[in-house]
Amino acid sequence: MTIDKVVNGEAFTIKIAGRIDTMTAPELENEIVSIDESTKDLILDMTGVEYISSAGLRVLLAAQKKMGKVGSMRLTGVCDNVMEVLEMTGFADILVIE
Amino acid sequence: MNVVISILSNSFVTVPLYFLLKHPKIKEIPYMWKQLAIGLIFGLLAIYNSDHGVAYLDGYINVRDASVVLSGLAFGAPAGLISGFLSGLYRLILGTGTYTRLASSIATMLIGVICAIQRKYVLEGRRPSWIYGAGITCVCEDIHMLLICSFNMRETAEAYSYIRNSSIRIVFGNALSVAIALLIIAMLRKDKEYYREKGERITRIFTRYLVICITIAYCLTSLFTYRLQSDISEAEVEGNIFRSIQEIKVDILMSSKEEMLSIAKDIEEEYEKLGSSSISTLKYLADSHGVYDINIIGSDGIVKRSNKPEIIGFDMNSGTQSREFMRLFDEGWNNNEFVQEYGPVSENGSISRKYCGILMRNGNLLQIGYSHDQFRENLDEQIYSVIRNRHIGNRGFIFVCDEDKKILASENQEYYLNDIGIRFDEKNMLPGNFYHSEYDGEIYIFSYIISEGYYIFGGIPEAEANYMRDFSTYFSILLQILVFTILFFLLYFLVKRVIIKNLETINGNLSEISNGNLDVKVDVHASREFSTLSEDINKTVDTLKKYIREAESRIDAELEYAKQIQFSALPSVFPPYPDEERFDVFACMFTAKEVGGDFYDFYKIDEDRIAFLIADVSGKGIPASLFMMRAKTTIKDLAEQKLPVNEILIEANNRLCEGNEAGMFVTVFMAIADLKTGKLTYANAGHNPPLLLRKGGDFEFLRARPGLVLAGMEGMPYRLNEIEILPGDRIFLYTDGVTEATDESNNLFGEELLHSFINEHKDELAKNLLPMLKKAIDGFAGNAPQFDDITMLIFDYFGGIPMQEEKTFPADINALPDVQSFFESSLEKIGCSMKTMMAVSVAIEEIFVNVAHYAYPEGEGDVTVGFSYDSDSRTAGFRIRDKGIRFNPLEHKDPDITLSADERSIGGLGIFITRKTMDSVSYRYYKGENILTMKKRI
Repeated sequence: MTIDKVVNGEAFTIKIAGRIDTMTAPELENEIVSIDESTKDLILDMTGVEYISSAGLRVLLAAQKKMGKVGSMRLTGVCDNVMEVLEMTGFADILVIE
Repeated sequence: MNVVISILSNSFVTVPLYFLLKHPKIKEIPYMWKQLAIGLIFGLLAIYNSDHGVAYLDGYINVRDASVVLSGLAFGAPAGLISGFLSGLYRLILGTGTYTRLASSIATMLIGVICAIQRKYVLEGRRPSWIYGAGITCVCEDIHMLLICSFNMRETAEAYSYIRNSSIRIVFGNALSVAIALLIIAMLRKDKEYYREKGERITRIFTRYLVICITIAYCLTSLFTYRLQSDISEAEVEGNIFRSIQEIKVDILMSSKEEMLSIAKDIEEEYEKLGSSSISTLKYLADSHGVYDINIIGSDGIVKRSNKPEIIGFDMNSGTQSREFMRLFDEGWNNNEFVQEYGPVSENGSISRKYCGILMRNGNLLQIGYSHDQFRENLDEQIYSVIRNRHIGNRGFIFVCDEDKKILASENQEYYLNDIGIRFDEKNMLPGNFYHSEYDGEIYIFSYIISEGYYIFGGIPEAEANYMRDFSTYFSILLQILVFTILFFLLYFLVKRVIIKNLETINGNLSEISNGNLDVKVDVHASREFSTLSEDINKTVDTLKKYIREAESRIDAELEYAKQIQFSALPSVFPPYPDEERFDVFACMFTAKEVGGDFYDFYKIDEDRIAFLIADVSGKGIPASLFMMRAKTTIKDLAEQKLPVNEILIEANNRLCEGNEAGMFVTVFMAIADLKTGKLTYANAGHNPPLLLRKGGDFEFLRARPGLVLAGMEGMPYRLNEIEILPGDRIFLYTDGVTEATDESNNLFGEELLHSFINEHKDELAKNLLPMLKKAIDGFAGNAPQFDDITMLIFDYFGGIPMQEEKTFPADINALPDVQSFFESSLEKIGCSMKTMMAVSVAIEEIFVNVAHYAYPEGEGDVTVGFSYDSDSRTAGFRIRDKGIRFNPLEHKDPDITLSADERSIGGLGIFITRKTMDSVSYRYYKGENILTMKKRI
């Protein structure tokens, strides 16, 4: 899994590619945890994400909780497979997906 | 003899013809042709009868009318009309006998019409009874007689005589002929009419009473008429006789009076001419004029002169008889003449004389007198001239007799009354009264008076006297028959129209209602009573409908409950044994509208054996579902005792037979599968043969000779069948709701269609296959309703699924990528899609991570993963097993995915995803290993 970050004032984009699984999820988690407090808008670009497991979902949930308090979070570029998982688990209703 | 043949001739024709018409071939002939033929036949018969009667008085007494009556009453209105017309025409033109020609021909045609009307409106096509036939014939002949009377009114005596002598014979003969024919038919008929069906019809009862009343009325009226006519006639006759006698008496008296007075005047003239009143002069005068006495009486009443010297000086005032002459001297008495009746004289009561007196010009009374003989002589002449052209009635007599009863003034001179046969008993017969006597071969009514010593007798033959009476009476009696008959029919039709027709309508409505059509309304409002009746009936029916609706909805509610109970009794959780990887069961039941009796059941008998069955209870509704429950629990009880499957059914059968008063039964197919050995035992109690699929082959029917249905009869044997099943085999059980599903044209779905359909989809997952089959059945049935429960069950045997590839990894997170690539490469080889691979990977990850985290809390351990693939079903199997803590990840509750972000927790999500993405996930703990097996169709 690779992670790229772009900061744009109050918006912070994390570009993820690869698999978000048990192994790689912690890395993402770290990134999220270390987000600046000034960031109000978190964008997760999932364009390259082809695989997500429950470990990844956990991270997304925690991110949503966190960002929901101070600002907003949205996902972009979600592919079909991942979308299916998000819908199946009800995460599609919790997360903002563009 | 002729007449007997004639009377019976009608029967000879009527009876065979009547039964011939019942023949099926004849029935096919159109109605009008038959009527035409019958009309012709009876017309000819009538004509035959017309000429073969008893000759009487310039005509025949015959039974022609009987033929017409029979054709109309027994066969049909058109036939009656035709035969009447034909025979009437014949009678008019070619028949013999002129006296009754016109009347009889018209009568016959009329009779044809009357019987046609009777047949159509009174009998309404029914067979006439012989009483009825005889009655109608009598009325018809009555009309016949009336017509004869009417057409011969001028010669009443002749008409009367004809009627009197022949009417009985005519009526009786015809009525007898008709009655015999109808009676024979009645006796020969094979199908009995339903006389005793629930009481008589109103028409019959009413008719019977009406006939009685009318007959009584008729008899009373006729009696009254007869009496009235008799009295009138008698008075008339007597008056006639009396008047005639009186006239004669008066005429005689007048005549003799005139005679005597002219003689007296002659004597006066001559006396004055002679101028002498000496005895000798008077004697001469007496002799020359043929008188006995000549007396000259002065105004003092003393006889001054007489031809009989001994009378001179007699005082006229001294005797009653002589005193009468003194009135001539009265100034008030305007008459100069007085003729005294012949009678005894004052001087000597034993001598009778006839005197007359005239007042002479000189104021004296001239009295002359006839002696008995002289009077007689004188009278004889008068009488003769008076009587000569007198008669009473047509054949009456007038006799004048002297005191010796010698008849004077008739052709029979010198005959005495007794000589000619007239019984005259002067002592007991008073003048002016009427008596009977025989004379000239007949009974006569006669009377008499005495005048001037003569007996004047007048008499009329009783027959002549009575004929007018009898004729009028006959005529009015005949007429009354007709009138009362018409009255009868008017009343009959009136009652029928006003009451009976309406009753029949209402009965018809009620009968429709009682046959189940509660929407029928009674709509008879002919009178207030009927209106009320109609309204009441309709209200009652409406109330009934309301109660029925309420009861139905109650029943519907109960049926709903029963259905719920039935459904809840069946295992409905699928998969039923998620831990079991060796088999799977899927079943469904679609009930018909009413609570039915199908059921299925399955349960593990022990760790390695599972029993499954399907059953169909006879009947529907609550009794069927109650019996279903009983059967289900009975079988399960026995199965739990681990009996062989056929013994389960044997014992279940005996138990269910007990107390089975309702006579219900149930078909059952039951099987027990040994999951370790693959041995399948089964028994069939009257149920449809299941379908068995061998892996790699097609579904085939598993036909074994079934035993009797359960609860049919005690002590029935059931055979134990045994086969071996292999992993991948499937068994499909069903009830006849499947094979006997019908479409709108009543075609059955059938075994063939089922067979081909299930083979087309033999690799479908059970949970998809059964709904697909149901859909196919629904599509087949179309709009036709489902009549029976449709129940299906599939048993899939996987056996212990052997893994084709296995690899062991340490139970460590870091091993995850290797584990995943193990599976991914296997999947690639079989051409799995990316999407599926991803899904599998996620599942593998979830399970593996779980194991890695929690299986070996103390330290380290191994995880063995396995992969298998079945190309026939295109199903891949993944197994993960560890020897760690016993833990079933599937026990976790699914997370609530509807919660918001703040409320969500992560727990259980992994398993949830796994379950959702895999076709089946099963866990078991076996010999110290946690074994989790997943399957997915690729």
